[in-house]
Amino acid sequence: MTKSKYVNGYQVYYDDYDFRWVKAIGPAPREWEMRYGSDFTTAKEYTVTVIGGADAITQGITAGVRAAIATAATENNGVNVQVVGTPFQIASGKPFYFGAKIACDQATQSDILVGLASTDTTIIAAHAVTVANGVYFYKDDGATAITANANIATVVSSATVGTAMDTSAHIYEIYFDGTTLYFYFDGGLVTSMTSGWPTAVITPSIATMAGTTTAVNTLVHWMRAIQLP
Amino acid sequence: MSTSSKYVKHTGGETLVFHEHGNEARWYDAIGANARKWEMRYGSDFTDNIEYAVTLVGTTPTITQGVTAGVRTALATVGTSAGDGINMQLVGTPFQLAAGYPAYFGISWAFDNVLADWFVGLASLDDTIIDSSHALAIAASAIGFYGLGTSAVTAYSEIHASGSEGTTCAGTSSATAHIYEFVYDGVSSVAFYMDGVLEATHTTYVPTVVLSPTIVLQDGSAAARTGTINWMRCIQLA
Repeated sequence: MTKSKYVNGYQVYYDDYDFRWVKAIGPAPREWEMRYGSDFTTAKEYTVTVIGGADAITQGITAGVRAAIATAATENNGVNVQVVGTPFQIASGKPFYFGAKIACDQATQSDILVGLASTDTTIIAAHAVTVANGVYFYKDDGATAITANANIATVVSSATVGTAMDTSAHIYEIYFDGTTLYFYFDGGLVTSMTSGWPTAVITPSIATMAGTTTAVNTLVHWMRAIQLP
Repeated sequence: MSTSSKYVKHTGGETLVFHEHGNEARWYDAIGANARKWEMRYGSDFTDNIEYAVTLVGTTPTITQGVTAGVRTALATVGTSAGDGINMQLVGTPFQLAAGYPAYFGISWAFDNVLADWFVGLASLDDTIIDSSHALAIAASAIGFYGLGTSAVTAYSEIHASGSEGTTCAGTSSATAHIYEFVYDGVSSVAFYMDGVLEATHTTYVPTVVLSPTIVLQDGSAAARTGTINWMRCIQLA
């Protein structure tokens, strides 16, 4: 159920959990949400880096799906997608929310990263995260364990999600209350951190890569970020 | 006119829906983690197949961002032959009328002469919703309103393989803007409203496939037509 509360003088709407922010109303909230009809083509809205020939990101054709990402059927081929610009920055006293509902059809043979990261056209390379800065969830090829990560200049603070990856849609969320950073998987707390997150500007990001010679198909139901200045 | 809100139950829980005060059928917004919302935005990209799948028929029809206060889109068929015009759909088909998922569609738009062929609503991907003989030619499924060369307005639902239901509205089109809306109750019924007046309720041939917001404006006679979209939105609770 949707409810609202005041945070930093802003009216924040949340759904089911008080950290699951949906909308903030005030003079200058920083809000981004993947929209239906997004432009994945011209690099005006997203920086899309295709790694391999036949990879693609398109608008969803399934009810509720905003984006469909398909990799080529070649190991380490994939798609790297970031919002153009780096409008978010985790900073003391500036509460922040990121959430994404995503399904992937390859629970094991895939690399997936979702969260916020510094701009990088190779977020994942050869089954390893290579982006310099970010807060994100990551699943490595060949395994189903998902980790929650904060990453400063490749120094990673990490915790493993209690639930293994499968092909169902799951909700990945990161919440910063102004002092502590929390990671949630399907509404359950994974870990919290009081340090170790990047202070650089970051942008909503998703990267998927094939783990073997089977294409990986990822559906983005929704993905949003909200920060209060 | 003011805004009210209510909670609407659906398969995923309860979501806060903002609506016109005194008119619960005119949804403005819904705030929920899984809410599916689309609204034609100012500054839309009408370049073919980036934000909209656009099919142009005839001599260089145009779709541009509005230059009049409040107008999001200006349509001009330009050509003067029967069937010349524009068939435009949001890229992707994110909406589907399914049990447990209430939905709203609405548009405020005007065209310069009732001698036009037009359709507004949700439809499966289809680049010829109205053909050059001034007839509906829906290939799969659609739900919405249409007019074919007269001021008569029909509330319509079609599953092409099964059949269709059309109800002639009491309201008629004119050269001024009208509001066309429908609300799916999340069970089996769709209520159609024109300018806030209930015109029809359909429980048959309500599409079940994925659909996209759609607008068609074509010449209904041997003259070019223009249209303006003030707003157009679709909201579904999930």
